[in-house]
Amino acid sequence: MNQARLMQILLAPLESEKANKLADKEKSRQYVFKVLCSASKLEVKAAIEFLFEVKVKNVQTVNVKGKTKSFGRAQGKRSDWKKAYVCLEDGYDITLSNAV
Amino acid sequence: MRVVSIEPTDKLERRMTIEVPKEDVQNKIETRLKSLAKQTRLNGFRPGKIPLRVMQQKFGPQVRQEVLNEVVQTSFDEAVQQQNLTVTGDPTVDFDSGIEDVTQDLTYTVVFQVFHEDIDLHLDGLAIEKPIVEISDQNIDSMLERLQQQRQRWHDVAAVAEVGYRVTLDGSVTIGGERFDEGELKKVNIIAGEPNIVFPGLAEGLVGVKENEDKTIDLTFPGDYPNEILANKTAQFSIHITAVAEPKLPEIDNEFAKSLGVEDGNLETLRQQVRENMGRELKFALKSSYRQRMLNALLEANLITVADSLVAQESERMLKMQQSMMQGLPQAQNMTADFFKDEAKQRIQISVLVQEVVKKHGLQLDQSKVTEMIDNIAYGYERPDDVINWYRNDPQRMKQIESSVLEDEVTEFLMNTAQATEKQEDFFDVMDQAPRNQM
Repeated sequence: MNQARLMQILLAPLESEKANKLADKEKSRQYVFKVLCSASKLEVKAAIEFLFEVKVKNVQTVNVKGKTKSFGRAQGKRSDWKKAYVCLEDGYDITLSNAV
Repeated sequence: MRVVSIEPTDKLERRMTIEVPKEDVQNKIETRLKSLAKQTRLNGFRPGKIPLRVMQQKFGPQVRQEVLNEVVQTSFDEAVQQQNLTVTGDPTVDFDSGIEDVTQDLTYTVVFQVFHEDIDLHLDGLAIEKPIVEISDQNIDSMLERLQQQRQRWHDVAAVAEVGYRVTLDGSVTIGGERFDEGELKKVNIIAGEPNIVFPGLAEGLVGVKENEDKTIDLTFPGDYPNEILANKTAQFSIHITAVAEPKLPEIDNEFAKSLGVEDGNLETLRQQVRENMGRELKFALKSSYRQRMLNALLEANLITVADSLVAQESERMLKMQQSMMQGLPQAQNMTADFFKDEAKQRIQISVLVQEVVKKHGLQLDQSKVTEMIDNIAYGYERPDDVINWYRNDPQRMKQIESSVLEDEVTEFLMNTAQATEKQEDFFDVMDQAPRNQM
């Protein structure tokens, strides 16, 4: 896969109480990221493996609809985004320090 | 906390290596992070629900730095106490192991200054001159003369003013033809022939004037004259003499004795009283002069190096005292702490030595002597009780008294071993030497 494309796929790690809880679970450790909407699971897997030098077991994705917000009478909409839950093979983990 | 090593690098400088176990540091960091987590707001987390791991990631380095500073401070203080050191100035801290490394015990090196070098006291055989003073008849005569001068009266005469006469004058000042308003004089008393600071040269020009005489005197003001308008200028003083008075000393007779509070007006009684007074003053003066000599001898035998920062502090203090005493005088502003440096250094050295002697020989502060000293000071005042309370209620002043008493005790202690040579000295010499202020 194109490396330039891989560099673009991951947008940010998702830091929230829920994401933390998932990362702390013993059996189904999952790390949560914001990714490009156009990215496929395979692309996310490749990007994670490339950037963090880990082995990925599987990836689950969700399309998150942007919230509609009203400013007075005008209706606005936040952009949609894609959330990826990444599960690693045993013996690997992701901390910010092992990002390459 | 463990002191690994301590070594002198200089007379006053010490280098100390201190080790702090890593658990101590880590525990501190953790508790700090936990308490911080309760107050921090972070997007994605409810307040107070931020996990420690996230906190570490976000605030770890910052908190670590803070904790390290604190740990260094406390462990250094502890080490200083343990080693019985007196530290002055800012210590410089140098970390041996990297401060980022959490897996190792924290070791660091501090370089700091101590108050004074290690003292090896030489106390035996301090050579000292012990003044022996006898009040002679001559001394009493000159004392009476002083009293006489204090009671000098002015006596208006129509004669020509001689040196030492008091001249009363009105006058005005012009500089280069222009009137100088601040120089308006009205009924100013000037002693003819005696150098005058305010009008340099004026007094000299007054010798030989008569009452009701008008005179113009040219005065040249020096460059450092406080008033800038006048400095370096020549001014014309046109003056009118309103009165000339000659000084008159009272005769030393029965009248004189009576005015000094001798009831029977007998000169012999007066002499007797003066002698008694002088004797009392002499006793104090002798004591303080003896003490001063003893302490100086102690200092000479043990010339120690003391920290500059202490000396600077002390001279600053002396400067302030001097300035408050000379308030309003222009010279007060020009004085700098440097002026007192040598004296301050001596004071510090002596006080360090005194403390050392006290420590080494287990001298105790005698509370009864403190009381006695305060009583003595208070005795001279109108309301002794107020003075006593004034001292008792101020720890700072009590400290001064106590250190003074301690100095006395040290002096007494030193006397046992000192080699005193007796020396005949004159009453007034001793009186002038003795410091005015007991403190």
